[in-house]
Amino acid sequence: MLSRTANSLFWIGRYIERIEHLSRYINVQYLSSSDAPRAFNKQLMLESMLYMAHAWDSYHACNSGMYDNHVVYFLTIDDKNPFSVKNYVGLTRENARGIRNNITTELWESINRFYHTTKGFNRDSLEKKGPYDFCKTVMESTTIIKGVADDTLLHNEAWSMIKTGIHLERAIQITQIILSKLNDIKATGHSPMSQAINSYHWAALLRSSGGLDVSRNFYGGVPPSRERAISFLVLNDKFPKSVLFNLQKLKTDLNIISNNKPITPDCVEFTIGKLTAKMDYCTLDEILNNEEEFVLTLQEDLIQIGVQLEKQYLTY
Amino acid sequence: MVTYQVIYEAENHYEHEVTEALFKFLVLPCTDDTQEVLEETVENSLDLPVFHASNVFGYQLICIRVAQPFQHFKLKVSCTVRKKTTGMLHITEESLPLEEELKVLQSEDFIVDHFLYIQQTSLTDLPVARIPRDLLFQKDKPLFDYITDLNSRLHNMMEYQTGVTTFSTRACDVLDNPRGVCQDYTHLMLGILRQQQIPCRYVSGYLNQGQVFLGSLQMHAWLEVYIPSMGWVGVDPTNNMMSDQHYIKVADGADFDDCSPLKGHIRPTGPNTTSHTVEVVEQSQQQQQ
Amino acid sequence: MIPETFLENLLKDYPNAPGFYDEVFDENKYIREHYRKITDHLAKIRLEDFQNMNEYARRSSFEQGITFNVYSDTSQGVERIFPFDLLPRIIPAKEWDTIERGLAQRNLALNMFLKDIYNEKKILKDKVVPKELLFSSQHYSKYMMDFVPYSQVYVHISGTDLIRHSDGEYYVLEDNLRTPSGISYVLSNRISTKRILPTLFFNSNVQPVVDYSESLLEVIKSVAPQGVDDPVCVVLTPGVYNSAYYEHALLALQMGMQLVEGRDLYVDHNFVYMKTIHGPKKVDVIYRRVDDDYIDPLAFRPDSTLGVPGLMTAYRQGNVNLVNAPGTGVADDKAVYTYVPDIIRYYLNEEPILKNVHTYRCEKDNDLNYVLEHLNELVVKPVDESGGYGIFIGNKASQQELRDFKEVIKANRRKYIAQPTMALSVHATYIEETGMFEPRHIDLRTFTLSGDRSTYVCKGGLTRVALRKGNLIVNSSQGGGSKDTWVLQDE
Repeated sequence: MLSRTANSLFWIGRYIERIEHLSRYINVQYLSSSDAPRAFNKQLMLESMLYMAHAWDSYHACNSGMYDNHVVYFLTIDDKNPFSVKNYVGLTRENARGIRNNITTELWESINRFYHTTKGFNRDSLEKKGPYDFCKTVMESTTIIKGVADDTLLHNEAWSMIKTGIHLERAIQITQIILSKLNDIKATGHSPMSQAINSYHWAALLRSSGGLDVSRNFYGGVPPSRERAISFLVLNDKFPKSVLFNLQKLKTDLNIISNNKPITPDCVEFTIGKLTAKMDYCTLDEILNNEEEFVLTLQEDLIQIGVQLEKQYLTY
Repeated sequence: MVTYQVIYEAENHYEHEVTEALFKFLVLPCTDDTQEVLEETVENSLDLPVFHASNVFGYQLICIRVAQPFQHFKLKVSCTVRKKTTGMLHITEESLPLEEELKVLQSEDFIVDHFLYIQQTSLTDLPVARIPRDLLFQKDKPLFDYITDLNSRLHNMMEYQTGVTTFSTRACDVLDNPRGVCQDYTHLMLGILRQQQIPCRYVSGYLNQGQVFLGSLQMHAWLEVYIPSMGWVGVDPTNNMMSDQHYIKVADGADFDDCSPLKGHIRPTGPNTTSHTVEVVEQSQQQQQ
Repeated sequence: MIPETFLENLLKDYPNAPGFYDEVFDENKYIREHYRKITDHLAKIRLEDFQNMNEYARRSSFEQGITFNVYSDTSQGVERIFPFDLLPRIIPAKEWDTIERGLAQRNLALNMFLKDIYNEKKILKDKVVPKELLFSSQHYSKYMMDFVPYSQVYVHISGTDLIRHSDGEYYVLEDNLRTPSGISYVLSNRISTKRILPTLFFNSNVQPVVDYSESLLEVIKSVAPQGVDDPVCVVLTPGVYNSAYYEHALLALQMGMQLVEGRDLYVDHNFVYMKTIHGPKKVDVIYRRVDDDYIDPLAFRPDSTLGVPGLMTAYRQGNVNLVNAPGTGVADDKAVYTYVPDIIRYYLNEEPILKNVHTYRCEKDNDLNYVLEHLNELVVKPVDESGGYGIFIGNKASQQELRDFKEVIKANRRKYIAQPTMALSVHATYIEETGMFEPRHIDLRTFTLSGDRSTYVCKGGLTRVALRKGNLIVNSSQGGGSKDTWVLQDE
């Protein structure tokens, strides 16, 4: 496979996953802020969205004031924001177009349709209906695209490249969502946190990563807490969005790509294996000791894996 | 027979880091009826393997692909060349009578076969009306005599001066302002001859630095004119000479573009500077008189 | 009220197009024999359903991403679809037989011509084609001289444009010997017709076109360098922003080849390699859809970023083959076109099967005089521009424009040739704005493949439709559409 093709496949995976998490986060924040405890006001909700999307500076560079329709517009369909959902969809399609012959017609058509659908949204429709319709459509489309990829592509190195992008990006996004929520909690917490607010935030964290329902099920209906939420998102090896789960998947994805070549210490497979082992034997106490620092370091490690992976496989 | 040690060095500097490049050097003396290369070594600062390729005219290129970051590149070619003949090169027979020469030059087959050397290029093209009449062939003597005559006329008309022209200076610019270096002399003479359908080609090479020649410190340029029954005859308007054992040929072509010593393509592109040095030392003095 | 049917609509108020050959109707407005089956079938379809099918066809192209970019001064890369008209153009078996033999003959002769002019140049020495014409052509490439590619094929893929004149005869309008495009529309138009009119299609005995990619793959593999058993073949595209990118991708996909860009390839030790995730892989044949000028910055335009530095040296060394060969543009030059009948006679000792449009060469004194006197009846073309640009149509020009253009011609005689306005045949075409069938001018882009000892002519082609009323130029970049082209099998 051409390195350039691999590069495009990898980024299709990453963009699709990023689009999904960003849309889910916007949607969850927007909806849950309406019935949030008083301490969590609208302003904080908008700041949280911008923080999660790394868009604080770019938003303020071209907007004055924080209004929910402005922030939502900026993050979803603003052409001027290079990191809006719509522009990410455009980038996904450009990447797919560039490697049109390496993917199936079904996959191409689902991505192309996704592109034309998101193009159909405009400021008016967004302001009238709120972000729900848009985010819902986007999330459904990403799910369809991933399903089409799984069901129509050969499960070979090309498919594995997309999966590599998806799994790496998902792990990074989960760390970013945790960091955003920890940030929200800090922002609301002058007084010791009340039970209600506490529970609200951890539930919102789980919901933002699409894991609230399954975690309730997993914990037998016990309300979310700091311990349970963090443990579930980082260490649960059955939850497809947890960091550990995705690290393990990354290992298998890369096995297909490297064709089970022997692993040397300078290759990305080695780095991933090492990080997975570390997470495998990590206790919850180690994390909770200073969860923010832990998650930040973890995110930095994941980003470095991306850099190393590009160097090893994707330069052309 | 004369033997020369020829050393060519090129040094490239790049303002920004280059990650990928392909270089082609057209600097190796050729092997033909008059000379042979006895020994050749190529060294480069990146210590990369080099490979040879033929250009369109069959001359040897030295090529190097670089696939690692660099900002500086140096290449050194050293070789030993033996001239097989002395005196004027290529001349094996007497001139044909003018009439027969013209018959050859004007035959359709001949023109078709030599069109590349008859057709003007953008570097050699000259408006016919602007060529001084006394530089044109009056068809009153054999072609060879006209060539030697034109050679010295151009030599006298031009002033040798470096730094006033570039690689893209055209023959018509030189006609306006008769100053320049070897390739300007050569392009002008090519332009005048081609305007009269006389086949001629651009030649690049080296000059014996032991002689008092203009242009011997760098690669030199002269031309070859096709004279029926004699073949390609080397003429050097810069020095008012016919090419002899002091001339070491590298390549020929329609104009400078075909003989440019270095062509390269780099990624990413960016500003750069190149310098060339040439050393030609005569090794043995056993000339046959 | 009974809903109007397709056929009623077709027949009702269908305007005459006097002076033109109508593909569907004869002079007495009877439907021609070979169109009967389709009109009988469509007679049962309500107009409304037909309109729905038409809309469905449009959406289907959009979803397949069969769009092309239009470049103009004002906007860059607007994506548009190439409108597809559901009513197919039908060519009876006998007519097609002549076309096919004619195309094979013409392309064989053109390949021999290319080999000759780059090597022995006999045709020039024999003064059949004037040497000045070739030597002054910007497409006559120094890089091809004294070199014969593997299997002696230069033009592996040729796109010959045919039209039918008012005399009912087919004429060759031009040869496209460089990197002709359009086959993807042929393939996707066929898919659309099969999806939308399945029963009609399967009852109509239409020759298949799907074997094109298979045949192309065979041709490409057959011209691999000697000694390579299992050649690695790739499609080289300028990239996603090229107007024909969709086609490059489709062909690569169908042939199971890598679609590469210049930056994916490099030359080392005179071999071409592609950069893969597991290191370099040698490439043996390149089906390149990048123009000559851009394929090697060390040989041609040094500013090109689309090509592969050193490619021409590797090619001349015989380590890689290029499909089509560089320098073939010299033979599809509009001035050389006028000599093709002589070229066929010279190399094959046969009479040309397909007709050439009579051409006046402005560089000839007699022809120039004729052109200047009859400019209002002629179409004048620059010999060196493609895509329908720079064409002057005499009968559409004002007196002042005619006067001005005469001066333009006189100032650059070699640049212009003139041909009588060919009366392109018309075909009933559904026009969305009026909701009616109207006659529109059509032409036919055919595709001929030449490999090592084999020739294949795609049985069909791209029927291009000039959608603007009265417009004679049928080109996707000039607001045209297309039709599926049905070549019938002998019954």
